[in-house]
Amino acid sequence: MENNISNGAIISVKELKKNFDNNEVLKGIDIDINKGDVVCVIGASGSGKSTFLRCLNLLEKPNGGSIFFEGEDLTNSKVDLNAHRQKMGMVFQQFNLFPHLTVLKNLTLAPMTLKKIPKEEAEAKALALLERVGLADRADSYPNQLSGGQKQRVAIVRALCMEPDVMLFDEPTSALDPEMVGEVLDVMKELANEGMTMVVVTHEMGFAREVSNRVIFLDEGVIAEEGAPAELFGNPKCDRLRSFLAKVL
Amino acid sequence: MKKLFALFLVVLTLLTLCFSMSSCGKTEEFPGSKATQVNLKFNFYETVAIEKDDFTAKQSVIVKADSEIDSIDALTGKTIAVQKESDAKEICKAAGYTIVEFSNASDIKAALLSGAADAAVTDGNSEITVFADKDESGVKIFRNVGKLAKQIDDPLLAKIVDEDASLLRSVAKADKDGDTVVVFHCLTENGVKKIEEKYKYLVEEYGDGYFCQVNEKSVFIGTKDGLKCATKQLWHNRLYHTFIENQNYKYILDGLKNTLIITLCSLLIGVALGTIIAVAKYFSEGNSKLAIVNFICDLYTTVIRGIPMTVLLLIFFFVIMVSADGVLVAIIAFGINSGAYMAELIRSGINAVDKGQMEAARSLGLSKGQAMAKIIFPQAIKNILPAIGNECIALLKETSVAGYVAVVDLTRGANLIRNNTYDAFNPLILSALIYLILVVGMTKLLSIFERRLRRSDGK
Repeated sequence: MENNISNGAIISVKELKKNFDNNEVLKGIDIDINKGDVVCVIGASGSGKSTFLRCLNLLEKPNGGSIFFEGEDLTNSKVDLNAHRQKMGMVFQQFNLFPHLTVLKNLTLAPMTLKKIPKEEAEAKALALLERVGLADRADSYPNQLSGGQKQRVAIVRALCMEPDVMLFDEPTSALDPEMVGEVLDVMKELANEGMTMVVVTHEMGFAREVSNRVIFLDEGVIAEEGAPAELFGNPKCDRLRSFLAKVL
Repeated sequence: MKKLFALFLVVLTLLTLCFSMSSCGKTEEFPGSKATQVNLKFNFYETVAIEKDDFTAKQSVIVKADSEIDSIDALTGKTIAVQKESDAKEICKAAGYTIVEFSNASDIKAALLSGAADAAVTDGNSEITVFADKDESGVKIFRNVGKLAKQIDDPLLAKIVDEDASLLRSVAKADKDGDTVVVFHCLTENGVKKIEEKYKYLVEEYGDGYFCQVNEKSVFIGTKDGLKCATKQLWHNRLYHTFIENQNYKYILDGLKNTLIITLCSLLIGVALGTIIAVAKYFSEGNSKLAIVNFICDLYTTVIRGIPMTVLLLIFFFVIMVSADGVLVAIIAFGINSGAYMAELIRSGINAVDKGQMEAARSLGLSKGQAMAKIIFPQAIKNILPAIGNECIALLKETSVAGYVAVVDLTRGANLIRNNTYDAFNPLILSALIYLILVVGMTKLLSIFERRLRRSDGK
């Protein structure tokens, strides 16, 4: 096995394939993601964007190929998946906050359970992060009492509380009202500026152009085109990308 | 809404009381003072108890018609036939008589007639149905009648009791200090007619002083005052007779205690089993490596849900745990039964939790087990709490069949009182009321619990 850490690639995907029943959704994806990269994955519905992202932390089990994370092949059944997932934070389109726990409990549950961090320390850290996104006063509220934008910001903070090396975002603003999209994107921007490695599946082309350093266009289960945002958006090479951008921009 | 409900309960209780009072018999006037065929229901206060010796009015001594035994004292040194597991057996043993045991009254009768036993001592009035008509069965029955007769105020009635003790069913007092009514019980219509014929003269000779009434199998003879009392029994006397006398209320208390113990313990077992099965099924479904686990879970729920609770209970008591204590067997059987239903309930609750919850938990690095315990299961329980409440209530009421396996639960307790006192209404209604109160209490507890869990839902 190659030692992919020597490449500096934090995630290395080789010939990733995924089927759902008889439907081949991913037909062979190869990509290296380096530390500090902010990768935006764009494409039409059904192109496999979300599936690709969910394969990265093995929420979906690939049917072929391998996924190397910090040198380890996650598709190997002997590997301790839970330990690696702690270093990959994920933010979902539907937020998926735990409704029966307060915001603070949502944040401190994983650190206290998995890293055995004492309660005071975990809560202090959580409150500090909440402060940064402007939600420190909602620490004792329940998720149902928050707006969509607030929920998603809490979800991001929840993932950050585990101090991950990579953050995965699955269409984080698609379920939000337009006026709340901005507040979430701001948080993501800040994260990117601090050097967090991020993989973001999104329809927000503005964000892609501004914040990411790589954009990947997925079409029918393969990477049809990739490159720096300026290049990709300014000078799309393949036809599918051109027609896609025409519809979206 | 609450006021309406309270009002409803009050009205219900009042109606029950009224009904109870009125069921004490009708105060009809009887046509004339001649002996006539009527369908009367007498509610007697008690059978006169005889204190001396060890015999109470509940035991009967039966001998062959031509036997020289004529009193209880004459039993010393004789062979006595008794029924297994009867008070009579204990009394005879205590009195030092030689006893021979049989399993039912017919066997006793056969032993008596064949001479295998000199006398028989039986519990209660039921034996009269086997031995009753002296002409037909060739036996005579008496109960320490010498003493019995002495306790009756009215000399004429006392004489009757003395003379015709063999067919005597009971000598009853209409109320605690009231007048006496003598009841003869006959197996055949002829028997009834014969007694009626014999004592018709009382009515004719004494006019308004005595009555002699018959119904299908019994003849009632007494003074007119006794009749009035008998037919208009005071309801509070009735309640005293049914519950307080002979400490009958203990049946209810013991029954309640057992019902509660069985319900609570079975509930715990049921919830524990149900959780284990539900979680096991959740993790093993679709996983070929755990197919055997899946199979066992399915087998358990299918078989247990496919057998009626009563049959299951009987199987446990008579086949699986043969000499165990009834309450223990009941707890295990009810627990296992309830577990199967709880398992399905909990499984449906788990499945109803949004898939994204498990995904979010796993993406944080929590294991399946940790995610289940901290995230999925609490939400599942919140979903199915009303259904679990239903199960609890059903379980409480199901325990009323525990009586089949020699457990004195609330229902059996009430039934025992009914058997002993011939009063069906009061004990059964009381037990129904107690069940109702328990169920209402359970429901209230559950809604408090539900409200606490819903804290997280409020806006």
